[in-house]
Amino acid sequence: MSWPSCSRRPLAVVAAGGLSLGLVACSGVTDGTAGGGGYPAESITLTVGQDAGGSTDLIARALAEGSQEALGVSMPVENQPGANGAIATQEVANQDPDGYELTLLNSTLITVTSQVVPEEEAVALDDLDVLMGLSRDDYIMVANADTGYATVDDVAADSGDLSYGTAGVGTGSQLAQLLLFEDAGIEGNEVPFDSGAPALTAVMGGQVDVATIQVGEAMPQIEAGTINPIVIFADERNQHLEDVPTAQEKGYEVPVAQYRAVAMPKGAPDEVRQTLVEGIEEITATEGYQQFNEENYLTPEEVSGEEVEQQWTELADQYEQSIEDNGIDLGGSGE
Amino acid sequence: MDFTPVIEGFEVLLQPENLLFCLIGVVAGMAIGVLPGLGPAATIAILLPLTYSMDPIPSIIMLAGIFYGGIYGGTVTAVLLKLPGETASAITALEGYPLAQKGQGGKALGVGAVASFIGGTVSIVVLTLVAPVIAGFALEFGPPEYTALTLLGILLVATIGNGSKLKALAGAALGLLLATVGRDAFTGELRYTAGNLELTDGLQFVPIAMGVFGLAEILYNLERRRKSTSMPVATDRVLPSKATMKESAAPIGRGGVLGFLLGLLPGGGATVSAMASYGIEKRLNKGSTPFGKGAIQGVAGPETANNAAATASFIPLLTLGIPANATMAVMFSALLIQGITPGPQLVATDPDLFWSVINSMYLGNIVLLILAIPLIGVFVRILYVRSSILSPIIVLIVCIGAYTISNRIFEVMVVIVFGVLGYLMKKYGFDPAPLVLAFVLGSLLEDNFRRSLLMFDGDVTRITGHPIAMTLLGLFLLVVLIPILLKLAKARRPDLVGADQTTAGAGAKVPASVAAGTGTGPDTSASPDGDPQDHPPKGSEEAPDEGSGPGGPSRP
Amino acid sequence: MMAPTENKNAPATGGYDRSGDHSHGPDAARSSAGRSPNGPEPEGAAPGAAGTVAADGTGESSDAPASDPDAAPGAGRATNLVCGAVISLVGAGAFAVALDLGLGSLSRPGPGTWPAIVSLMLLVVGLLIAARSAHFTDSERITKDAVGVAAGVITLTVAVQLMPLVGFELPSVALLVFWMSVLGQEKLRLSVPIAVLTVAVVHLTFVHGLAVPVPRLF
Repeated sequence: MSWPSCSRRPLAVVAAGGLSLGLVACSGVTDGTAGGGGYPAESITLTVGQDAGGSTDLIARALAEGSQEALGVSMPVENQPGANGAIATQEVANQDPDGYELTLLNSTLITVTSQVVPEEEAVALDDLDVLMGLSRDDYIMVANADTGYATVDDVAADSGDLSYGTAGVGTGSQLAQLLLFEDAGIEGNEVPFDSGAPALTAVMGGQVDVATIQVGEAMPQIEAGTINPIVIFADERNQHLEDVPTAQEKGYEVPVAQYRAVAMPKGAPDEVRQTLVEGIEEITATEGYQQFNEENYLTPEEVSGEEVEQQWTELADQYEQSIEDNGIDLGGSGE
Repeated sequence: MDFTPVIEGFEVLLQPENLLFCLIGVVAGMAIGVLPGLGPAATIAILLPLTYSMDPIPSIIMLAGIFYGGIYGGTVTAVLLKLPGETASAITALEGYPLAQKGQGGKALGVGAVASFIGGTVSIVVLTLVAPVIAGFALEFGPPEYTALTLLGILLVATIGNGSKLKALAGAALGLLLATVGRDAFTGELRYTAGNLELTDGLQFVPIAMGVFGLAEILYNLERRRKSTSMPVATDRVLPSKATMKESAAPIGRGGVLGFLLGLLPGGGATVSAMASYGIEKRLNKGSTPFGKGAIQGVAGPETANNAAATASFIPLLTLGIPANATMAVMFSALLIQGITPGPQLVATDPDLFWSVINSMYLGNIVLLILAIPLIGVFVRILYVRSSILSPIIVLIVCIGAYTISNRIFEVMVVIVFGVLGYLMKKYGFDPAPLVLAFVLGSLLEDNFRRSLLMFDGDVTRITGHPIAMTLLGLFLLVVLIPILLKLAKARRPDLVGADQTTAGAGAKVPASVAAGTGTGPDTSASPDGDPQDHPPKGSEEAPDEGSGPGGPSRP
Repeated sequence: MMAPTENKNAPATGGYDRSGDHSHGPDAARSSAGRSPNGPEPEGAAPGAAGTVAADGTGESSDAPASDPDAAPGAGRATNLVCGAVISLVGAGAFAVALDLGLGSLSRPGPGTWPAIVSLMLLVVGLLIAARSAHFTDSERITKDAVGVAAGVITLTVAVQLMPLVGFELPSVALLVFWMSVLGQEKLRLSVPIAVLTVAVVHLTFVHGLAVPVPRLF
């Protein structure tokens, strides 16, 4: 069904390029590595299950930007928001594995959201072929600087009289926060928000005492000193926040993070898969892309697709176990 | 405060090359913004790749142009075709569309452009002067404050509707109910989705609005078309006349203040401010044209508020790093792509960039005004096309536009279903506006109400610790009570015939004095909205309908 | 056309009438509610009011139809009764679902709390509308011409459903021609070229211009 369009946004080119300022790098005909009639012969769609403007979308666009150079074709990003990415993921999984339909996966969709939603809605990796991992986005628990909280123990001291914000039901933010509180024996009122940004706002305004959000969202405020970083939920420290301990170091077994990876429908020919993996590797090796990771506090996690599948499956099992062991209620109808 | 960077910023801005980028941005933004379904957020997202390879400053300038162009594009379709591109322009459609139907679309768009310009510019000036100081205001607004604010908004919805208050209430209740469809944000439970995965995220505003407003209008006229096929052929001057501007001046002033203050709030600020402006103008209206029939004040006020709010929403973004709405979220990522991280550090670490963002907004606003005025004449010509030809084309573009919202057929079907609902509502005397507006406020109200309860641990009295929320609730009570008290007072006056005061809920009514011609009972319902100024004196209600142009009545 | 004042070609222009139409419903309702010289009475006081308000003697009510010869005939009490009943039923159904979802408590509000409040409101308002059905004058009867509306909706739905299967182009051309020529009584030699041209422009704009992934054939 999908036919090539010669450049990413040709009308924009008409609008702007009528004045021929060379604003858009790609031109109609492909050049570069793709020679002859081989793959890829046309643009590759990268579907994102989130709205434009979020961090997943941003990563997709950073990746797509290098596509012309590395793969010789453009890579339009298509946002198909819905059900935390489940709709887009299923849609892509049902496409032909011809290499022209990719998707950017969020690990929490597979590992956390699937614990909350009913069976038929849960997304598994079965129908997808993960090409390679991209990066890790850490969750961090923060508190308003006025509260004076600096460590988990400070927070624990006020147990019972706390309210804490999360980025919503079925997110890594919620899971991390609940597991930590359960583990540390902290009691409080959970106040879910629609995403990380309003949760952060609530912390800054003192509406809630602590919240768990992504590092990229928290960084500017941490630098400005309006919020205190308390603990990072990952198995290693974040290179941008070397001073902040991980939950694991503090003795809490809460390895929650947002990983992202590129995937395609299962069953692609080997050479197509090979070309794509090499292309993505080339993009991630560019200075521009690495700088992007740096600027957005992302930790590169460029591992093979097999490793990603293995890691995510393990995480999903681990979370399921923890949720059961701790008797945590993430909400939702899925058990 | 040091203003040198502000001045220097302007010098950079006024380079011909940068002016050109702004121009391109406004034109492209407007061109895409007029496509139904593509609101400002979608417009920016679509044009974003254009800026990838540009330097930060020209790209910011172009984005500002796209931003204002996109917003105005939505106003154009809202006025001419009753197809709002975003929530705030749904309110513009309430008066703008009737004006266009009277052949005064040019006037509406002209006032809209001027109002947008004033709202935007005033907002930026204030932003320039006090942005860092007032940024904290947004933080004072937590769930309890939003609950109170949206309650006030719901009350405004009741005022906004034209026609029977009881039927307006039914529409509003349905809108609130529709807002609950989808996954419950607190428990993850699915509500009213009937097992449909497409519904898990709930319904979206744009398809609903395009359905009950735009498509419903087309379907409604389909039934009537056999009898009269012609559309209004009239046109009028595009530059607003002195008289029009005089009428619009006060609404613009009030709208600007409202928009600026409410626009600072992340989430719903722009919509509530436009609603509030509309509600206030409707009450204060002493003009020649009643609301609902194309009162220019109803365009001027909300448009100013809308644009002031849209501009003010940059404050939480630039100073706190909080995107206030979907459009700001896209703007946020556009800035991030340029290596600019909006947040508390921006002014300190990179004042040049900070001020060029702000200054480019001045430029975007001015360029928009200069471009919009001559283009209005072109836009208005759309209505010259016979409706038997224009309507199908619009329907097609609406369908494609709806598809682009989430790239699925589902949204198109939503438009059709709500088109049929809107048609039936129109036939049976239900104003669709309360439904649409209540839908917008519904999830805001519910989420914040429940969040407040969680924060308070179920103890409602803890709201007394929130002065802003208490003030807003007080305001809410005032708005409810004053009309009732006024009615009571009126009822005692001898020159009014027969007062029938019953308790609230049984349909309090105020009979109008036929002789005096002052005030009419508002409706047939129990709505507390009985301010006698709600409607102008009956005596003047009929005639001026066609006489609002500068040349006086010209109806044959 | 260039006159500075608005230049309505005839009182029967669709535009004017439509705005007139907007107004006369609600106003008539108001007049029945607020202007009865005998003092307002609650429901039941004016039997058959729906049909008789226009003859109430107020200039406006009798004017409106005159200036609007196209106005659809008003619907009777039964229509409003049905409207109210349907609204109540929707409210009742939604309320049942809300109860099923769970009401929760004040400290832990459940997913059904808010829907229950709203659906109860809908239920009550529906009943009130039904009870006061005699008083509304703002509903219109659905006329024979509504066949056109039905045909429009059906063709639109079919065309939209076909789009993911065969691309948007062919269904769109067919839809445009049908709407223009069958519903709008335009000549085929006008409608076919316009339809093809429109679809071509839409194709260029959305598919090539904006690179929006619309399902397409070409």
